[in-house]
This record gives sequence, structure tokens and C-alpha cells, in this order.
Amino acid sequence: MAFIRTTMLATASVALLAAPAIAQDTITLEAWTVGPDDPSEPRADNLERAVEALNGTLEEEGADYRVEIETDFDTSDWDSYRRRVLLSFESGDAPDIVSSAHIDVAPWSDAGFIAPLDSYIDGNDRFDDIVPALWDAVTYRGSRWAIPQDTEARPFYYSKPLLAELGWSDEEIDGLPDRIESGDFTWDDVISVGREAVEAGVVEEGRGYWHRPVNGPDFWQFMLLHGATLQDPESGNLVYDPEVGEEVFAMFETMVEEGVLTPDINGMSWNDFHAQTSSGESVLFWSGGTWNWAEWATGQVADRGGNEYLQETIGFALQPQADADVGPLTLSQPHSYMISESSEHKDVAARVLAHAQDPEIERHHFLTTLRPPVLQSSRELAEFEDDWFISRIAYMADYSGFQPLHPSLGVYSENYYRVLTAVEQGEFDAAMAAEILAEELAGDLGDAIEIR
Amino acid sequence: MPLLFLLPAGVLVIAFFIWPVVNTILLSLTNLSTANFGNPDFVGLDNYSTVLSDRWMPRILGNSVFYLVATLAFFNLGLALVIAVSTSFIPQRAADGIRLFWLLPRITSPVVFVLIIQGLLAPGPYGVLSQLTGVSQSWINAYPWTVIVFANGIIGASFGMLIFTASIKSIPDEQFQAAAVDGASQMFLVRRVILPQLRWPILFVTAYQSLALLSSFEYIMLLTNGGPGFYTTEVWSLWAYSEAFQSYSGTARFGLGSAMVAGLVVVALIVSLIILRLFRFNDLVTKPKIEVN
Repeated sequence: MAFIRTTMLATASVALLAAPAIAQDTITLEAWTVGPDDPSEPRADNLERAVEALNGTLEEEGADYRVEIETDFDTSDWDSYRRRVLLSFESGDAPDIVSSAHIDVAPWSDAGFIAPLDSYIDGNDRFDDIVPALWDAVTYRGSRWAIPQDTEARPFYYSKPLLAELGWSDEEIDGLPDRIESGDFTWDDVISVGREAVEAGVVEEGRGYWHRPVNGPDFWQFMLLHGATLQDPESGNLVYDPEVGEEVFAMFETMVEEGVLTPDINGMSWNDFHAQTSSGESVLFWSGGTWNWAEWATGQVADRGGNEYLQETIGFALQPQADADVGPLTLSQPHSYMISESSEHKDVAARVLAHAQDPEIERHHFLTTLRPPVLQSSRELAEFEDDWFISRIAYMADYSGFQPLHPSLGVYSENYYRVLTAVEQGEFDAAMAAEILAEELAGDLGDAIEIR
Repeated sequence: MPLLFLLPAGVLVIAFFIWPVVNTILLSLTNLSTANFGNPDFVGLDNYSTVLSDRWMPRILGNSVFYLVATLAFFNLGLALVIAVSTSFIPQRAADGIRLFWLLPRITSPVVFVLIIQGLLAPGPYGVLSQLTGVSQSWINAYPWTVIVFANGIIGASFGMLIFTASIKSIPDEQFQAAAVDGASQMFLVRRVILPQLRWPILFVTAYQSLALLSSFEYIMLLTNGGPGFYTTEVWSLWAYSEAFQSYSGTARFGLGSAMVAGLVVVALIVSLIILRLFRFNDLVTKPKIEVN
């Protein structure tokens, strides 16, 4: 028996030496990714491409294993995707790679769900191509927990035909982004032009300016525009300044009172919102995201000419200045890949992510989603220069603010949005709202928030 | 031996009713959240004091009571009685048709039903009501409570309608005939013959539907999600759900949510006791003083 076993072992070793390709291990990784918008599918596809590239590298190295990956792309919504991910983390059987917004780094690393990636990042020069500023968005408590996958901006959109109807010349319309960037066209102008449009009958009451219909990161922009500090760099605590809050609430109160913004916006369906804004026929100004452009082109205005129609009809700029000391800005919420703590193949998963840092692979993503790429070398690609939309929004990265990384950011954000909708409904005036928010935050967050 | 027969049902009751209650109470004494899932701390009654000291708690409690009373009075009991009584005076086939029509909302999936309501009440150019009235507005935002009570009510009415119809059918025909011989009007029949004999079913529907309304929030969540504005239509169960599970960033506070649900159990008990007192339950279950054969 022992003799037979030895013989078999010997035979096997010979076979291994003779044909390394025959006896290989296959390591199967699992990756969950999310849009939730359809055009973001490359978040899953690109991992498959990266695995192909990695297997090529492994062959060159003569490694005794190959990698397979099972990807899943979620198009439901953030809330249900995050819950699904959390449940899988809690079950201890999470996918090896998870994609999510950079803000999830804080709660997920605190809970011990995701692995710190410093050693993998430092040990692989493929990660050096990532735009350095983006590492800030995934650094928490001194470690990097995620690999930035794309970035974005949240433009202030406007309807060109409606401005023309208001008597603006083509030069004035096309020059608006520059005026906003230089601080010459401010939020006060948004309100006065919006009111003018309503009074002139160019748009219906309440359609001068729209913000998104449900809570989301956009609303931090208005805090930032008024000079808010959202996190204390020393303690890491969240920060709320009631004086800034009052300025923000007063701005929205004025917009509702002047008939520029309808309080009915809250709770409107996304479909309605996109249909009304992207047509360029009924809403003058609105805040949105760069990824909306791809959604509108392939969705709402596809039958009107898609991209070409949008280029003629919709303009975009930074969120206009509200405070001269701050100037115009936008908010970016970089999407990123994380590796779960429970993964048995963290090193292999990190190598897959390293191989995804390839301008050829990334090109596919930014051309479909119109989200600015994260690789410096991608920004030198001809397609990047040639893409009408991307090349025109690239400058926004220089004006980009991020949300603070804190496990209780969600509680802050829910409270802030709830008070804001109450202001728009006329339940509270700005001063009262600022005070109520301070009390709510102090009650909900305790030591985690500093009220200034 | 009898215990052995009780075992299957007993196991199910313990697993699906008693254990969840115990577990909820245990969870409500911790600070369990998504951020500390592996190692929650015991915090005693902190969660309860957070809930009770919340400055909006009275408003949310008031909303819950208002929602309960309004929906029950107008629809789950009121409209249900009206349909049941009125259809018992018309020919059978027509009556069945009307009752079937009222069952439609109940067999429609809640999400589809809400989508239909939203479509009817959306602002122009899409909303049907905005088109008909020429006033383009989000009717849900303008009259949130009316819409919520109405939407819940036309679904809730069918439950009472079925129970009451069956009860009216079980009243012996002789009583109606005797009343008719004495020259009773239809209103008199309803007041003196039908309603007194509906006390049991009315008690049952009130109690059952109160508890159902207290714990159900899906229509409110889909229609207004507690808005528009500041807890305008937030009811207790929705509040517990949103505190525990709903957040843009996936931060969920299970401990606090459990404390709120435990609070809901207390509210439900109080409501049940009030209902039992209101209908003099003890009188209903006393032995009849004469034997009827």
C-alpha cells in the first residue's frame, strides 16, 4: 500500500514538473458591485477583464494557480444593496470584493467587516497611477481601506432653451459656467433669475430650481457652500454649526417663498424628476450628478437624439457661490472596491484590483458611465480628451469636496434632510430649523458631534 | 399525552411568537448597530429613555392615534358597515358584484396599489386629478393625511365588509319578517335588528384592525415615508422601522429599533384593553340568562 502511494506521488510530481499547466489550483473569487444606475455595469465587467489580465501575468510567473471571478451587479437601490452587503458580512460569508461608496469605509471598517489595504497598495506599483487626492477619500483612522474606482461631480444643470426664452443671448448662455466658476453668478442670481422666469411665465411656479427628490449626498454641498466644517480633523468628530445651518435653511426658505422651488419636490419619483429636467422644457435650474447625463441620453431623451439633444439643450456648471470666502464647488463621492475581512484570498483579490488599474480597462467604464476616471494615465488618453462631456467636466475635480468619513454620517444626513424638508414645507423658519437640528443631532449623536 | 399533542403547535408558537418577543426585549437593552455587530454593549434602559425623551415622540404618538382612529372610524368600520348593510337590502347578484369590487384593492399588491394612487395624484402633466381639476400640484404632499387614510381605508373596508355581511346573513329571517309585520322601516331594521346583533363582529373587527393598523406602515412608507416635512405623517411603527433599518448610508440601530417596537407592544396592549372595556367584553361573554333551543 505504502509502495503504491509512493509511486503515485512520484508519478504526480513528474507530471507536475513536466506539465505545470495540468495541475493547477483554481481560486474562485466572488465580487458584488452596485450601480445602482444601469450604465455602471463596467464595475462588474472590469473585474472580469482584470482577472483575465491577472491570469496572463500568473502564466508568465509560472504560478501554480489561476483565478476565476463570479461578479454580481446590483441595480436595486443603495439602501437594499447596503443591507444585503451588511447581512453577508454578518453571516461571515461575504464576497471577497465589494464595491460601494467611499463613505461606507467608516462604518464597515469600525465593524471589522473590511480589511485594511495599506500593505497591498504599498507592495504593488500598479496602484501608484491613481490620482493622489482620491486616497484621502478612502483613508480612515490612518489606514487606506478601499481602492478608488471612479469619481464624479455634481453639476448645477440649466436649460438652454428656457434661458433663451428669458432673453439670454447664446454667448450669455454658453458663458454661464465660466461666470459661475469665477463667482460672478452666485446663488442669489439663481434665485432672482428663477423668479424672473416664473414671473415671465417661462416656467411654471416652483420650477425655477430643483434639488434631488430624496435624501442623498447632494445636500452636503449647500453646507459646504456656506463654509461649513463637517468634521473636526483632530478628534474625527462630526461638526455642526447652527449659524451655517441657518444660512443654508434661509436660502431654501427664500426659494420656496419666492416661488422658485416647489416643496412638492420632496417625495417626487426619480422618473418624474428626470423626465421633467432632462427635457429642458419645464425646469430652469437643477442640481444633479454627472452620471445623470448617461442616464438621460440612454433613457429619457434617447428618442429625441440622446447625447446630441442634451448637448444642445442642457448646460452644466459648478454649484454657484453662496459665500464669497468659499466660492463655487461640487461634491464628489468616489466609488471604491473593498476587500472583506472574511476573505480567504485577500492577496489574490488585491492583485485582481491592481490589474483593474489599467487605462484600457478603465476607458470602458468612463466612456459608458461618463464618470471621470481615477487613473492619471487615463486622463491622458485620446478618448478622454475627445469625449465631449467628460472633457468638459474634468475641471470640476479641482473644486471637489468630499463627505466626512464617520460611522454616524448617515444619522447626521437623515436629520439634516428631514429638517430641510420641514423648512420647505413652511413648518419651521430658518432660525428655528437651525436650532432644532442642533438639538436633534445632540440627542441622536451625543459625543460623536460637536455643535459649535 | 395531551402535552405531546400540543408539542408541534407549541414549538411553532415558541419559535415564532414567544422567542422573537423575548429576543426583541433583550436586543432593546443593547446598543447593537451595524457599526458594532460583533460586540454590542449592554446599555440597560438607555434606548427607552432615548425614545421617551425624544421631543417628537408626542407628535408621532399623536399621529399614530389619529391614523388609527380616523382609518377605523371612517373606513374599516364605518364604510364596511355601510357596504355590508346596504348590500344586504339589494338583490343577491348585484350585492355580490359590489362586494367583489371592494375586494379588488385588497388583492392588489401594496406597491402596485400605491403606484396607481401616485399616478392619480401626481402633479401635472401626468397626474389624473391635476388634469381633471386644472390645479397642478402633488396632491399627496398637499393632503398627506387624507390620502393615507383614504388609501388604507379602501383596502381596510373589505375586511369588515366580509365579516359583517356574513353576520347579517346569519340573522334568522323570522326576525326580519316579524319586524316587517310590525311595520318597521328599513332604518328601524338596521338600528334595532341588525346592529345589536353585530356587536361581536364589530368588537372583533375593531380589535383586529386596530392592531393591524398599529403595526402596518407599508402604505404610509410608500406614499409619504413619514413626510412631507417634519414627521408630518410618521407613525410609531414607521418610526421604529426607519430608525432601525432605513438610512441612506446603511447605518442601522437595531437596539434602538427594538426598544421602539417593544414600546409599540405596550401601546397595542393599552389599545386592546380600551377596546375590550368599550364593548363591555365581560357582558358579552356572560352565560345567557335563558336557554334558547
